[in-house]
Amino acid sequence: MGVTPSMFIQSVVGGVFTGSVYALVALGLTIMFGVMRVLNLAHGAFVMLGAYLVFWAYTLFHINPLLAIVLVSMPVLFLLGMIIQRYLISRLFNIPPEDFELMSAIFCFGLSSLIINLAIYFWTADFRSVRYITDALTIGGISFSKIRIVCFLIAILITGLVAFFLKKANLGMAIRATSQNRDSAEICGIPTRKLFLFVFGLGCALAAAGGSLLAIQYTIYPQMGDDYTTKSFCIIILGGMGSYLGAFAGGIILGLAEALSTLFIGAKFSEAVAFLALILILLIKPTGLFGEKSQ
Amino acid sequence: MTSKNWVAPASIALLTVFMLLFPSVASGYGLSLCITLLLYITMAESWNLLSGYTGYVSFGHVGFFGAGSYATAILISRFGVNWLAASFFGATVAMLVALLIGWPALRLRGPYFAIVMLGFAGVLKNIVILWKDVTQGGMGISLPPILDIKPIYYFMLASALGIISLTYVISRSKFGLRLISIREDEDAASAMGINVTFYKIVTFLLSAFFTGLVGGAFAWYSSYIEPGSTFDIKVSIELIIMSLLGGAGTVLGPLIGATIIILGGEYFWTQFPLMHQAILGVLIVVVVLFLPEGIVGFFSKDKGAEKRNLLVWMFKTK
Amino acid sequence: MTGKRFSFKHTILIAFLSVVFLIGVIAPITFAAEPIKIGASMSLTGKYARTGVYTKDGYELWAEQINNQGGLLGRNVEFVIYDDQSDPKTAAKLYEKLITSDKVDLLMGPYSSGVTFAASTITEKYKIPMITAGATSEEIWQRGYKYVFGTGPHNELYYIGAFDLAKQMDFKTIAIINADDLFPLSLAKAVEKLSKENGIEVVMQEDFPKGNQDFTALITKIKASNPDILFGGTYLPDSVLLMRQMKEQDFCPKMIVLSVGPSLPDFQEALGADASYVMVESFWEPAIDTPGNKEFTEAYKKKFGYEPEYHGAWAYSGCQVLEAAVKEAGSLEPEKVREALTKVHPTTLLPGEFKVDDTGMQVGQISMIAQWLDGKREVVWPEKYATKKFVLPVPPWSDRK
Repeated sequence: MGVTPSMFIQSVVGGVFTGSVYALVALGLTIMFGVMRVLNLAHGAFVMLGAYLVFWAYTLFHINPLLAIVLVSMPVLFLLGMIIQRYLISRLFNIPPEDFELMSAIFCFGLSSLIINLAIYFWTADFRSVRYITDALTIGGISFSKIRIVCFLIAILITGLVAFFLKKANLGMAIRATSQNRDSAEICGIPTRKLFLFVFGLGCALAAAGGSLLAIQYTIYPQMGDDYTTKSFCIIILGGMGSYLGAFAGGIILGLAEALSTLFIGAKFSEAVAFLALILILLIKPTGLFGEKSQ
Repeated sequence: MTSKNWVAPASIALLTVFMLLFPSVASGYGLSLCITLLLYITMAESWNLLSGYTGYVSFGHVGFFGAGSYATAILISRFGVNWLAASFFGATVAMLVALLIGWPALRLRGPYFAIVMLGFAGVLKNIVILWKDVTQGGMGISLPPILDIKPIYYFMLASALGIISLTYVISRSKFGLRLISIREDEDAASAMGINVTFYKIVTFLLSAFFTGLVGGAFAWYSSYIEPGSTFDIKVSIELIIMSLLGGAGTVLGPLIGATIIILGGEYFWTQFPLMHQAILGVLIVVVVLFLPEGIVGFFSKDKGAEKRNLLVWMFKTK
Repeated sequence: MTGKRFSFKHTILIAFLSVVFLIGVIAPITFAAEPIKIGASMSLTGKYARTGVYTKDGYELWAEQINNQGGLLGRNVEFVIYDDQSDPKTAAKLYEKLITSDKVDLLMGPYSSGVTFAASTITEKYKIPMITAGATSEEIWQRGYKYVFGTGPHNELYYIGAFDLAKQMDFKTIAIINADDLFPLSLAKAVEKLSKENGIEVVMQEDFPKGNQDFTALITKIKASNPDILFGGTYLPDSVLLMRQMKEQDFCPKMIVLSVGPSLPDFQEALGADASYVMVESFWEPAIDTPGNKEFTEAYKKKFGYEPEYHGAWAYSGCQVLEAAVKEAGSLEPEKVREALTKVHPTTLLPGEFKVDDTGMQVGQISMIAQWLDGKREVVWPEKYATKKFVLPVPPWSDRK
């Protein structure tokens, strides 16, 4: 079957929209890893929590879903992240720093299992949806779903804000410094422990933001985050672990790769694409597209 | 030093005798449970041989399990090969896959290696789903149901003993010392003239072999395999947790960890049918917080030598 | 001395009589009161948790009702249900436990074809019959097994009604997309077969990965192939996403048939009016006229607080079949129950009649076709059970509302 230009453009649009959400979700993960060396295997669970928060805010309190992202979902998860960091993860600092990475990864996996199963228990496995805006614009024969445009813009906005913050704000620069070299940062007087509180909170808040965008586009259910955890890891490797630009680029690239592989080869290959991209980049440039040469 | 040397082999010998006699007294279900237990013990020990001793932490070991399972199942269902031979074939396929994967992957360090292994397991799963002609894709492969599982039990027991003995021998040998030197400081080891690539690859292959071997036998035992549960990422993580719990980088650590998690898990889901997974999550959290060196490490009096600090060097990049 | 021996003999006598009394009188009562244990594993967590709940509901409601009516063979029934986490391997392990360790008397099946596939290898091994009220893929019965019995129409029967309607409307082409799991793959095969049999051309067929997040590109391809009918082998999240993205691209074929997803109320809640005109297979609807249906629906709502959907009624019907077989056999002995299952034709809540072929596959129950119309799922085929007339062709998006 032939592929027409309009099919191609439509697929690209779809891929970019999907990719922007992937990017936002991956962003939180890469920041956590870059600064704290935590491989947060519970990332998908936080995404799910963010999604449910928007759902409940909209269904029970009729808060506009877009506002709920900023007023409910992100703040709650920011707090939750800080609490987890303060009371749980910080205890892992008693372990020699180099042990920390594997241990925190496994710890997060346990946390994930706990959170998801609590969600099933309390909220049941019912599928939820947020029905907000459902129509689309058609420009030149290409359809642009209104809600996906909005989500795309929000993803870009939030990513941009975070990037700006990291580059310009004092706290942001402190974060980047710690990400580059924790020991030097401490020597310079940066309160790394306090920083970690903020960073973990931020990572969770970004996961929540991603989840919120998922909530308004897709179906919400307790296990919804599982695929996102795996994809996010592929993305941050692709983009470069710890690189914020890399996470964004990686997300968009993955979304595009899935859409275009579906278009040209077949839908069944789209999942394999994520893993293949991961392996390829690791073999060619292990630090990722935008990753730094060494730690 | 002296007291430590006979405790481990003696307890294994005792356990072996018990396990050999077990089938005569066990119910069908008890036997099944033990088959699952021995499966995980073998896989955790295999993982540990690679990741515990060389420091290359694999997040994708389920890929070898799956490769072994599928190769075995295909041989049995299409060519009517006997399950024992087919399992060894499965192990060989897993080993070949490891060779293919290991050559590029072992060049990466730390978290990169961990995640590329994750990626490989994912790719293998997708290959199985897509290569419908050979693997029947998402439909899965159905094998004739078996009446007597005792042979499988003994096979699993033998495999577990095999990998544990191998680990024991390696840990006490120069080979093992080389592995540890790779873990401690690969660049220095290489600079001293040790052929690190050789040691890494051989260990990688051995680890894959045993995992694939029991994967094959387990496929026969299950009588039905499909891509989702055969390449389940949770299995990879469970192996890591079992080894960590018992003590990674030790000979018996993974065995202890696997036993606690499998038998403990049994208890939990019978008592708490709805919350057992959540409880497992809590268990993991608690273990990591309070037992970071695992049980063997915790009980080890000689914290210097016995404490295999795998994790110290896991992500250390220079 | 004499007094002691006398009281000693006395004691013995009393003891002896007590024992006789206990054995002869009390024991039968206690043994009679011991409940019949029915074992099953169910997807209480995991990817099938949503529908697993309904199936469990059906089992439990039946147990409660039959106990109120005096039980089965004079004894109460009691379900022993474990969570198989929607995982085939776990289910197999659980059935082994139920049989060998819990020593249950009877078995009922888990939910989904994949899980049932694995569980049935165990029940076949131990030669205990298992009725499945949660799986319909033919592959389960193509292995020469003797101990698995289906109660829902097998996959190739699902969409006979849809093709009947398609023929009435003179539709000529169909596009098939499906997830890459056992069940959707099997459905896709069945639909392809039905298409060929009905002279309808399959213009495209694609599998998509289960975790698929974006149908945009796939929809452009479907659009390009211009089918009259779209068939989707989907679960709920896919079916909702598919409909949403079809609306975005203003793609609306003349007939839309999706599996599983649209049978859940969640489908309509997610899509609102956009759910309209979608067709789905249905084994049962609350409004159909089958014996005991109204009472069942009310009892279900009362016990669980929400409306039943077809999985719940299907599970209940499966138990009705079990009941009939046990009564026919007059015993709990596996071989006798198995024999009875090949012979009985009980009426259940499901339309059609229970009848299995010699592999145990269900051939008598009917799969109806339901269509979402005006916010409700109406039966549109067969006419015997129809609650409303079907609406085809599906009006394009712009003509709606």
